Amino acid sequence: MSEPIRLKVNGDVHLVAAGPTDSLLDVLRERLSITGAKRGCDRGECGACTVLLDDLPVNACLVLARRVRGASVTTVEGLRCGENLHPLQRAFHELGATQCGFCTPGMLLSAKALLDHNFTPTREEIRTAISGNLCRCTGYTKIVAAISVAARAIALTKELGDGARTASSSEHDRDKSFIGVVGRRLPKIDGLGHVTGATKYADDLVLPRMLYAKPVYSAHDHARIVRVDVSRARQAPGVAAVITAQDVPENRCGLTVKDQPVIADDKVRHRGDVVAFVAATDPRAAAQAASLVAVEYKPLPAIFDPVESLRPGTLTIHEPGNLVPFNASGCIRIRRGDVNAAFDAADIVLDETYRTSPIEHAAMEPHAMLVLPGPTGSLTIWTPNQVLFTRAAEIAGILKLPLSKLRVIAPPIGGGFGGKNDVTHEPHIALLALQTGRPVKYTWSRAEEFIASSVRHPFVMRHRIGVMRDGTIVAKWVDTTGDAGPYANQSPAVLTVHCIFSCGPYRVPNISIEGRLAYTNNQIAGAFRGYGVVQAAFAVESQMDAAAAALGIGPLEFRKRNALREGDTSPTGQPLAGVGIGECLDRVADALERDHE
Amino acid sequence: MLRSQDASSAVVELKQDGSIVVRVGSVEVGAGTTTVAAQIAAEELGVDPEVVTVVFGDTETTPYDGGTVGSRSTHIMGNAVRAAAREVRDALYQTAAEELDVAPGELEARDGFVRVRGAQDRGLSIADLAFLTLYDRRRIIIGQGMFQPPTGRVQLSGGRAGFRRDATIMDAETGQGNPVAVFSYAVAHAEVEVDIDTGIVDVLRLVVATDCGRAINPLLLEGQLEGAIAMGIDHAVRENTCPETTPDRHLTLDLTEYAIATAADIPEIVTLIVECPDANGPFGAKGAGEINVILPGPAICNAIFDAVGVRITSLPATPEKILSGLSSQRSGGI
Repeated sequence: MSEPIRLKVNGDVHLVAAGPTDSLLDVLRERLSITGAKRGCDRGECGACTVLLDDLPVNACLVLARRVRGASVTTVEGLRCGENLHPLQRAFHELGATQCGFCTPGMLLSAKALLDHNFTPTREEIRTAISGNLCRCTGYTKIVAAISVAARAIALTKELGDGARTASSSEHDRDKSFIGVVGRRLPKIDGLGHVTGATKYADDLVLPRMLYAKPVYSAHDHARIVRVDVSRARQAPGVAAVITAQDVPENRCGLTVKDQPVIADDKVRHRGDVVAFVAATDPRAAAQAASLVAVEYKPLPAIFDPVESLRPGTLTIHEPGNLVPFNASGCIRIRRGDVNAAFDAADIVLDETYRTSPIEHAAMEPHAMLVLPGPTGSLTIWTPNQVLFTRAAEIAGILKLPLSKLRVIAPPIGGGFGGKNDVTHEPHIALLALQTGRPVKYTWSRAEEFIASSVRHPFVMRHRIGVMRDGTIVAKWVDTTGDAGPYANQSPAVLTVHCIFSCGPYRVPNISIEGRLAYTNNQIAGAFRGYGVVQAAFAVESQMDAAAAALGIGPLEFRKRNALREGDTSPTGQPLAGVGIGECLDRVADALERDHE
Repeated sequence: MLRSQDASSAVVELKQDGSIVVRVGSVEVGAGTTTVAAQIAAEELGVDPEVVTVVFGDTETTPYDGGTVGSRSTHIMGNAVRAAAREVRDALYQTAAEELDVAPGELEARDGFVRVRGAQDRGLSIADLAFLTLYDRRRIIIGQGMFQPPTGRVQLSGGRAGFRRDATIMDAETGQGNPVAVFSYAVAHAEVEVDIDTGIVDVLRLVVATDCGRAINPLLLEGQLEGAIAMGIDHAVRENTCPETTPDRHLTLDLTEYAIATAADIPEIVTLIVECPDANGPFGAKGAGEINVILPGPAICNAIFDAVGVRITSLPATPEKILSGLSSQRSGGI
């Protein structure tokens, strides 16, 4: 099937095997080990695999390798000019345009394609040129600025010759004293790796005799499992192992509530539940075998709304009910003062219910993991996980191995935002490695990120605020319900933080907050940048504006009157010091005033 | 924003050539955690950050860490690195004090040298001190540091003060307790344009002030602040993995339907850094990774209300919700 094609990559001529459906990205990464082009979606949506094909930027994942035989390809590895960094690489590094670095190679090549024919681009031209390259870290501001600076450096070089190369030297070159390192705009110490393609993320790692894994996910939102038949999958070509629930030494996991099967056994509770996992000699064989796993289900009604989930008589997702049982009451409560009396005395009382949506982290790097079995039953696991030591202990518990048998390594992570906070498929890959005695790798597809990774909790939040005519807040009552998805996971901690922050940065003498979590058949909810506060802040600050309007006071003035001050306490009674909210309000107000002058 | 999670620890080692290796169990998600670790170690030891290498994220070769989450690394890991670097500095002072025949308290470390304070000609380079300590005194120079926010400290049985493993430090009925390691603060002002025919919200500009305590690295801090605002704008007007709930529930499965912002979608973001130091933070630093993401949702929805009088109570603020709000406004006015 494979036939050799001639490709010139970064000036080197390669004769490389390419199958009829192999993409240019497959050939670069898997055959030539040129990993600078990143696999972020494999659908031409994210731009992380952007390379130059005869000087034009293309998504390498969309280009069939055989269609470009004889072509000249430039990847990020070919961007340097001899020993010198390309002005774009230098500017990205020095001006903070690279954070996780996963989008950086593609971004650099799209920018190069622009600057090759236009070294005086406008801001709009820059923004358009890189609009096919997604970045979840930077907000693009520093990327656009870096491209502008690089363009000027290139323009200067063209006018003045190579002597002008140092024109873009950054301010840290001027500041060589070794005190005052704290407070300095030092470029990231790993930034040069990002701009040259040297940084190796989990999916860039390769081991000899490596197998590729593939999961079988639930076909239903909620169903009883009648039978799982893996016999045909086991016979499929290239298959080395297939595991199901009975292969998992400890098949219930969870941080506070042990409610989650590693591989589903009695029931599936959302589309992201794993029913079986396959390892084979190449990704296509693994996918083929996974499709041969036959699962018989008895579908059950599914519940997607957290409030409905908690109504009496609703079908239960877990026994005995859908209230997540993370403590004796299943609630977080924060109380101080006398809210009822305060509401009675208040001049104005507002009451509103706010809702938020489930949100995907959408880090540019999909989850990827690689497990190497050692000769004595030990395992080395490379996984881009944000909470290494706690997760290592959880994985050891699932595998029933002493922690000393596990070494867990986090390569540089291509964006986390809380989405790489949980144990995901590490135990499955570890079991496949133990069964086969071979290294096993698994890289998620973008679709799996949406189905099987965690999302930001949707919350339904009823907020009531009581204020006096003079603009003082006297009471706050909050009743809030978080959608945990089918397993408790980190939801209790998210709910706790959510409740603590449900009065915002304001002085409230009388408080009653009660929060709970509901199981649903939605995606599993988990840690996400802001950890429950994003939702609370939406309710708090929306109601602050509504209250200010009801009082006829400006929203800024209303916030200033009620902002926490030095020596105040938080809703949980925690003493506060170094309270910056007043100064933040003043700084924004000053900036807006200056704009109007 | 920072939560009281368990500890971070760090090991700092001085190599024979005067270079420094910092080992932390934190990981590098892109936020610059390892750069901050290098800066803090370099500051304490008075060396060029270029001679500092950071080894991270390996349960076998790096010490325990509670996770690179919760805006905790600069504050908690930073304190651990600082403590470990101070142990190395103290060991260097010991050797230097013996060699220079002064008390360790008279010494200072800066620009790659340990010198007698006020006598700039009396000093030894850190590389020389490393050699003298390793080969003359046959002592490796390793410092260790550990930091756990004081908020987790409770009375254990027997009256001893300590840290409870379950970290349940709020009263079950009243929630009273000190569960938060350190608070950061932020304020945002949003300017929007709403198309009343299509319901489309164009976010024009955000002015944002953020207090994360002392900025260890303003370049990287700006990156966190800008990135979180961009993400928050997406949350406010676009993102929802389950856009259809009735009649057929539908999940987004790709980045075309789940369209996060491109460079062309990002409005002007003005970030202002406010530095109200935290007494427990390394050099006064708080946490910075998360705080700004909470701002755009309410700021944008409040701006929408200010522009067209429609109060959005469920995120995201889609054109459908705005049109429906405008339409009920009109019918209410009849």
